Amino acid sequence: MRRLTIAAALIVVAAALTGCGGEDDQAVRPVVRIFGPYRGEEAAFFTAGLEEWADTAGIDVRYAGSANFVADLEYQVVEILSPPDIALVPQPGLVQKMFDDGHIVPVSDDTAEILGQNYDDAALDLGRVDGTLVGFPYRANLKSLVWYRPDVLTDLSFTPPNTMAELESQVQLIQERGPTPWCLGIEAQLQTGWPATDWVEDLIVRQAGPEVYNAWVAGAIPFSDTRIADAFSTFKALVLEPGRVTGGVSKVLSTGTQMGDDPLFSDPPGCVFYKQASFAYGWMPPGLELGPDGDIDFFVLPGTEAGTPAPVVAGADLAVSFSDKPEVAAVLEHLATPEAGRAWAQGGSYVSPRNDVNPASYYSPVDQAFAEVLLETETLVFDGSDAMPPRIGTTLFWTQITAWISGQISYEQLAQTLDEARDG
Amino acid sequence: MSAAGDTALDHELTAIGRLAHQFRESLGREPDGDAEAAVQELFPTGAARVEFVVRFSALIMLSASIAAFGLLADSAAVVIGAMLVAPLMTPILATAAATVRAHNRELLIALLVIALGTVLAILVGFLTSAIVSDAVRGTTDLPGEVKARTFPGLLDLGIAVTAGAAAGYILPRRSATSALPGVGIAVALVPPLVAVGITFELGAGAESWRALLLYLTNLAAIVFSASIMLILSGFRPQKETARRVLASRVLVTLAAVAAVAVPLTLHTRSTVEDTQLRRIVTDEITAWDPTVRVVELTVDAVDGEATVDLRVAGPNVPSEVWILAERIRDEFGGPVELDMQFQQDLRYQVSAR
Repeated sequence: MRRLTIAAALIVVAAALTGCGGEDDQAVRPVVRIFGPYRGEEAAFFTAGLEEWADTAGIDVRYAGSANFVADLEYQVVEILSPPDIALVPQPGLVQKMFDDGHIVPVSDDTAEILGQNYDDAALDLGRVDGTLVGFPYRANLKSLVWYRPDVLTDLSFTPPNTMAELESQVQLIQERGPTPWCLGIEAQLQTGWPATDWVEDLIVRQAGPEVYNAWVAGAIPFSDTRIADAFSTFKALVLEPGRVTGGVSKVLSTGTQMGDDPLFSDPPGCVFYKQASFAYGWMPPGLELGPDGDIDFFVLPGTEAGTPAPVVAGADLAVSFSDKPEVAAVLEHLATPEAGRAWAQGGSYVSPRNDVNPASYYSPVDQAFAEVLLETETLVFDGSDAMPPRIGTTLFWTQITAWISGQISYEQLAQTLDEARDG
Repeated sequence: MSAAGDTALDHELTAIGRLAHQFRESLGREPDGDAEAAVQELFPTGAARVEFVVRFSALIMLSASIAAFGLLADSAAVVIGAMLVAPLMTPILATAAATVRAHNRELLIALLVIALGTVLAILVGFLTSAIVSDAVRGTTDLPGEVKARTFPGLLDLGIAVTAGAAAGYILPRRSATSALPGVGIAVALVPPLVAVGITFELGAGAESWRALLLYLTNLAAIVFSASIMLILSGFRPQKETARRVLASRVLVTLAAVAAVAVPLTLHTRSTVEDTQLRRIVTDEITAWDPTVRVVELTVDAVDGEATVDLRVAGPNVPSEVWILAERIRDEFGGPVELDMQFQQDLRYQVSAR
């Protein structure tokens, strides 16, 4: 009986020891909270680039993503003063504001040194506010792509257009013969309207040139300027006129952004062209083969002149931190390495903004095609609405363009509201 | 300590030995004439067989019709009524009896009758649903009684095994036959079949397959456990050569039970995971914001990843939804995709005088 008692006592002690050990392990593993716009498969790709490293580094990385990313991040940072440790922000304008307001912690010199090894200085400029490095691009994307099904274009006896004029005449012919030329959906909860701002930005840089575009983004050229108004008119005439977009304007307003491409794949096809960023490949049906003989292909929205590469509007998700804890810096430094994007680059639609990746081995064929566009273009500008101050670019511009598309306001009203807000 | 243990073991061995002795004795006993006659009634011959098949077909169609209307009307009482009319128990018990008696011809006939009943009941379910299709529009508003037949689990296997044992026990004991309807209700053979027809007609393939799985579970388990009970009651093949076949026959029915147990186990496990996830979600919602009420909740746990579709209502617009997702993730232990719709309670107070 005594032996039994001793054995039982030993078991209790052993259990207590292992129990304590487990808790200790938990306690010493620092937690780094990351907030971003990625959800679903994108979130899985993002965390896949971190998991293995974080395990070895002994850091517990916790990611949360939201479809209402901008509002939710501002709520955490500004309203409840409980920011995440790291955020991935597609809006440099928002980054600048949060840095100016003293929320974002600038990149440390050590991290900056590592960044210098992985990035071109020009790419890091995206993360600079008045000369201070406050963040760096984790993922890039191309906004200027027009997606189409090669079989559908072949049936129409068309090839991808070389100029805007050629595109316009193709759209005209498609409208006469059927099906509908364009697909578009701009509903995105609190961020409704952004696909339309991308459309207009691509037209501004094509029609008015990069200098005017950058001046407009910076606020030096107002919305009321005829060169800006012209781009809105072109957008309306090319895409929004009756018969040119699937379901008409009401459908454009009510269709979720990630559902916008659905008619492209219906049988018979509900539309021919779908202008959307490189990341749209990620929300298309899985397993599509990309290429002129594949299931899906893209061309860059053409420029006004044939023979020169079309301008490209690009976006980037900036990694910024709200904490100077060493484990946070460690995660940031890892995010700067090509390793952090490898899983995504091989599985989905990921364009690395880093300079030391070898496209052939790093990317899936899809992302290699994107990387080539980035290499070929001579005119690269940043997404204007994302670069503007957040109260303009990521709120008012979105709501105003939505109201303008629905017909609630005229272009003059839109320009007046936005210009007054920018001046004020 | 060791001495005490040895004594206990000796004692147990004696008890087991005694049981084994009793068991061997009971196996040696031949069934009496009355029991033989009761079992023999399961196998009509000559003109009686034709009459039996006609009566069987009529009853199965009537029972299936009652069940179909009961299921579509979402009436448990009517569905139970249909179970009492259902004649499927007879050929199923005949299958069990023919198995233990090693009567090949009778076994084949019994299986054919079961197949006939199966087809007829599914057909009646299909036709009834097609005729009164307005009652149900799609898979989303399947009546509860139909839905209940599309979620088979290991518990259903347990019910079928014990009910089959009861049937096998009652069959040779005429004094106990009043309990037989209870067996029919417990395992409910016709309603799942009718549910197969109804769901198939509505284009719900997955539900249809699961209802069929429930039926096959009942079928295999009843034949198996009824056979065992008949063997325990002394029924054996009459010819010496056939005795050797008995073991393999019983093994075949056991294999059939195992075959349905595999998908059932998988289904039960995913149901348990979903139930756990559902509990986690409801608990975490309360902890996250006690003012929020769940209006509708759909969960799916696949490969350790949770998908949660949620409709909630409450007085205050929630602002930190990602925290809810994080809480669920921490409790669930895997990635969570949360899609939440919120309806605000709005109050309007007006007067007109």
